[in-house]
Amino acid sequence: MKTQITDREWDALSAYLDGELNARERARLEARLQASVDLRVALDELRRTRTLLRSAPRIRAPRNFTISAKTAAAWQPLQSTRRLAPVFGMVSAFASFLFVMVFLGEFLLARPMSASFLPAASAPEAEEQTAQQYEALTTEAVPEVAPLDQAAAEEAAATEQPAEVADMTAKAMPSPSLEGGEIPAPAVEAPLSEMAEAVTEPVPTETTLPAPTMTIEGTSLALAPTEAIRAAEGEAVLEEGPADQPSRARSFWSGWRIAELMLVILALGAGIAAIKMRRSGI
Amino acid sequence: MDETALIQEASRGDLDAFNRLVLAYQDLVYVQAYRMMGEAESAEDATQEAFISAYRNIKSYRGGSFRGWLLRIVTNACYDELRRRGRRPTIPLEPVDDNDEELESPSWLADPGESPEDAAMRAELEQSIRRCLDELPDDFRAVVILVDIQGVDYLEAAQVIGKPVGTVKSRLSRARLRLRDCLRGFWELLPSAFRLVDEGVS
Repeated sequence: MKTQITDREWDALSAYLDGELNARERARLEARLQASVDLRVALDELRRTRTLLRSAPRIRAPRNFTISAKTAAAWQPLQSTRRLAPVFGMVSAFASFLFVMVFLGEFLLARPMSASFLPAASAPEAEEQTAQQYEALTTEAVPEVAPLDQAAAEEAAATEQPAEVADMTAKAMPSPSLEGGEIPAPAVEAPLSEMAEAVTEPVPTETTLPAPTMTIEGTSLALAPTEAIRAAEGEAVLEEGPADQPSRARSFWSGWRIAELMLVILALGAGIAAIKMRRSGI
Repeated sequence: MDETALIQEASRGDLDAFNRLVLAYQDLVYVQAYRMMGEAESAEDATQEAFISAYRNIKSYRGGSFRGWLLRIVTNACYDELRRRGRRPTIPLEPVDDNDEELESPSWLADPGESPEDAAMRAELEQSIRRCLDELPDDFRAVVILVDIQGVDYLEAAQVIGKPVGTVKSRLSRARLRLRDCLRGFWELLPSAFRLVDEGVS
């Protein structure tokens, strides 16, 4: 008998009891109540349950809960943080979005590091920069072939390859490796600096308004990652100079990693802050 | 002084104004805490904690129902305590046993002018309700206390729990269904005088 009543019907019966159905829902339920004994019995049982709960003894506070001056001194009223919750929520959403962009950017730009793919992958303005830097670099890089040679030779020796092969690889390395290592760096630089600006932009303007304490937290929260991104950028730019090829490749990869990590931290941090603020007030 | 003025004074740091609000709302807040926690001691803790939290966060109150705002704070305080307790179940959630004199017939429950039979029945009803409420999931219990014991409507209950009205509706219906099963045997025992007249559809 009971099993024939669905959850939806129970919900409707319960709301009907409280007068919380709209006119159409009410008319529909009343028609069905007339047709179904089961529904009428169910409604009566719910009504009796509610009556019983309503007749529960009225409980009164066993003592006064007024706050003493001493307690009040220890718990000074806080500035309202509730208005900041949406701001932090937006920062979190924005950081998540940037994370996805950086992740995709890494996937699309950085992974295919072959020389043939690069011109198509890099942005037009980045290409100009790249050309200039490439020129500057090739002139600078020429005298540096020797250390590169050495490094490669050492590597080759370590892997017990014949000396000739090591020499050949070392000589073959400079031109493609410079192209391969060099061109993605400016491409990273452009989106990253844009992102850094974008991240700093909304936070200070919006957070400066209501609460001084939270503003400091908010800006530092937002600034920390951007500084890190800039640092990572700087690192990448510095690394553009003639350097050991494998180490440059490593730092290049870690630039992406740092940016991704910072954005994830920012997204989670701001998200948690927003939720906490929302929960602390109504 | 009216409530809005008291709230304004309190948000400017006037402790006396805030304490007048405490006195006006302490029964309401305590009932919510008592029904949520199922026993007096943690209910007192939650109530005190809620008022301190309300005092600290009074500036975050932005109009609307002050009662709803307080109910939200105390309900959240109870959730936190119940969660904490869930990880370290040191206090049993069982209803208080019959040896506990204070809770079997607490002085503050007594209704003057009531016959001894009625008083006994009332105490028994109280115990059954407490036991049945304790068996409900926390989310269901919060809603049924708000609507059926505190007399809050669906919209305000939704604001208190921070969920849509539809959620209030379904949680309330589930809670009532479980309470019906839990209290079923009880209403047959009630003397006819105790079976309140049918309230009809409000």
